[in-house]
Amino acid sequence: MLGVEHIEASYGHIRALSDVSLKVEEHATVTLIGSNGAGKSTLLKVVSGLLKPNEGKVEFYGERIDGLSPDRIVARGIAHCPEGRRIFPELTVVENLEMGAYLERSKKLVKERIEKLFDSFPILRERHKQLAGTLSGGELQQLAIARALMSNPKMMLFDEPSLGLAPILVDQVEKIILRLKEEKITILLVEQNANMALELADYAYVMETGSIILEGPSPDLRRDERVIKAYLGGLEG
Amino acid sequence: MNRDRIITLLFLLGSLIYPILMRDPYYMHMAILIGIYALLAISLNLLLGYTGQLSLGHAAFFGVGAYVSSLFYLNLKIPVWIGMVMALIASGILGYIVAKLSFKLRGAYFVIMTIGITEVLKLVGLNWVDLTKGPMGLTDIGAPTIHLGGLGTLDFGDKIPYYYLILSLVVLCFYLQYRLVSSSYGRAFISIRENEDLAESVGINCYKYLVIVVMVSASIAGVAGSLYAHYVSFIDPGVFAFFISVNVVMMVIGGGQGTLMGPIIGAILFTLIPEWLRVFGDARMAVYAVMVIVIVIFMPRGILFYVTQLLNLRKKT
Amino acid sequence: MIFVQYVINGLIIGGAYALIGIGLTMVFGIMRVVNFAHGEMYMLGAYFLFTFFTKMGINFYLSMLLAIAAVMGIGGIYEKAILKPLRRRSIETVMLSMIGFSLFIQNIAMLIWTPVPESITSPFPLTAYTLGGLYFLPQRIMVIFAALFLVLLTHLLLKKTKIGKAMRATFQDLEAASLMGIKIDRIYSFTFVIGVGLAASAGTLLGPIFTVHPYIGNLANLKAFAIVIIGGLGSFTGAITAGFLLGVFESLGAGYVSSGYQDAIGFILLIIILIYRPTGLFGKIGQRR
Repeated sequence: MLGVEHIEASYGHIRALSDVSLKVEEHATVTLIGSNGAGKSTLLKVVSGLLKPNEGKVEFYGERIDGLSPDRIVARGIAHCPEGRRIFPELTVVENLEMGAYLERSKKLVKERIEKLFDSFPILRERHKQLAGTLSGGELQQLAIARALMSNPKMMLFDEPSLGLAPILVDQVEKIILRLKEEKITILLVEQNANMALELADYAYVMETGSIILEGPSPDLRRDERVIKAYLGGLEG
Repeated sequence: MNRDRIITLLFLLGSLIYPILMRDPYYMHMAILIGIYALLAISLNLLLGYTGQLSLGHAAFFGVGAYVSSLFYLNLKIPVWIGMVMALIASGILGYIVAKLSFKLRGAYFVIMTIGITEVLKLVGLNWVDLTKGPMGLTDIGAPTIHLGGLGTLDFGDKIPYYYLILSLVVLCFYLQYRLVSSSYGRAFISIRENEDLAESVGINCYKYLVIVVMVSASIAGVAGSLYAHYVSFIDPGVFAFFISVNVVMMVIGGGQGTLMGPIIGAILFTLIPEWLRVFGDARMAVYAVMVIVIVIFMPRGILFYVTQLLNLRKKT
Repeated sequence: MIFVQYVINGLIIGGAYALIGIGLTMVFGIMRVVNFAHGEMYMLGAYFLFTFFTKMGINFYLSMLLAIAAVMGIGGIYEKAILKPLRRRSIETVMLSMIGFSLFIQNIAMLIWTPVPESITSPFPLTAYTLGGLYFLPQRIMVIFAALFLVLLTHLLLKKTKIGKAMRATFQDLEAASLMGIKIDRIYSFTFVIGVGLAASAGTLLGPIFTVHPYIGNLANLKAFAIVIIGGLGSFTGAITAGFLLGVFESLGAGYVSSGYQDAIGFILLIIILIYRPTGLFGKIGQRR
């Protein structure tokens, strides 16, 4: 479904990715783990069109999407839930959600989607008139995910959804992603919390300093010595 | 001796013998104006070229210098030289105030403050009629003189002595610029231009350095204004024209910002270009404006840079 | 009583200042650069009204609309031709190209309309209504109502329409907005055109009150900058408040101090604000650069 091949990308003169390839099959949940600064977020930016790669290609349903502007990529069904949530703080909760469905022309459909999401995220219904900037961390994360879902995506890119959240809220995020998985949404999950990521994903890639160094089905990687040592705190397995 | 030094010395030599080669008063007049603008351009280069702060109000410092030294001369009859020092001090103080007010916040604020202060000073020049004679302007501003004891008096009212006076000041400022940017101050300035946060994190007090550089820059601009007033012997609120500020910016950018020779080259070009553009008649300034846009967009590193690049290319092929 | 009259006169002019202010705030909101050609758009608005109404005799209100539309067209072309290619260039380059553009417009205006000041004839009767000892000229009543109407219209655009919400989203987080599928280029153009349209509308409102010449943009620019900084860069409420405030202070200053320095009052207010509250009346703390 999504194929990333031999991507090389840089910020100015600083190379961030070199020869990165990965695949995400339809309805699969794939995770990309690695330490801070390994280039995981950069890869997501390349997929969603925020960053143009210098080399390589990105294919979605067999069509090339690298080089397209972000709005075109959203239109094809990829939603990117960015690191740090990036909610519009001075828009209300409802307005944030409306922005998520910016490309949907039917107001009725947008309303329906909001209602549907309010059923899944009841706290957002309670807060719907509030400015998003006044929400708590956990609520913000729910809003960020809900906003991304508003475009009715075929595929979701998650960038560090658990970052900065209390453990109880991390569980909550985990449940949300599990639910999306059951709804057959294809997911590419970037996480530093390798424990959670490997639990959720079917397949995993490990990234270090801009390159993929390891890949395999999640259960295999959870038993891999190197992964245990570097990313799982060396206690499990 | 490296190439840059040789070029600089040749330039100086050319300037020294220029009055012998060009006896035409018009050419002398243009040369004197170029010298005055070169002082302005050097002063802005310290600010824009080395610390990256854009001032669109150098006409304010220039105009204050012109008015202060003229008023001292006309009302108190003190020697012109003292008036020039007063001009330097007054512009420096104005620079201090502008910098203090606008560098609490950065970027657009400084630009806006410099534009604003120029417009306000123009209004003062127009409306404080008792002091400035309003739009009528000040007339009969004398030129400086030096008493040479038994040898008589050297009168700078003539073009040739005035030319050498200005040339010596340009050389002095050029040297000052050179010393300043190669000192620890200069390195601090450049690090502020390149990355302010980084400069701050290694212990450079950006605020302090920016205030200092604005003061130095404003002082030099004030002296240039004073020299202008005593040269043309007449000034009006037109010395605060926005065009002067823009043209000085173009001198620095067109010549090559952050280089030693850039402002000199720029001053030559942009003193002459508005003259050349007279062939366009009333459309002159519109053509100038298009030139500004083109240079800013396509030649942001200055003519010097592109010419050297071109020469280097030719050498290689 | 004369004090109240000054305040009222000030509020009327202030309405148009508020329009200039929100126009500039919009452009700043998206580009993070103040538009140095903003005053020239104001000047063009006034001149186009002069041409359409005084010279060609088209209906006054229609002339106003045509003038605003013409300026929006020019702004649109400018945005597409010059600003769009400069999107990734330094702020300095953008600022200087804007200054070049403003010089260009000024001098083109001088070629078309000559430097001789023109006055736009007033379509309204010159007898004032009196109410409790206060005078209200019909022309000025129209100005304040038109200004309030346009402020309200802008407010509704930003708060209620889809594109307005997208504009606000883009002001707040450009990258996140693009991830929503918002076409940033389109938002840039749209915002710029609306912003210069507001400046032009102020020009059509104040043009018949003052005289029109090619350099009125300089002072309009200065006042616009003062308004947005006094209000707090980026704040719409701030720009509206500061616009009215500036109108009132100018009117009082001209009345009680000296009309020669009337145009300097905005700058004096600006300096006071920078000393005591550098982020402006409604600005957020920590907005550096």
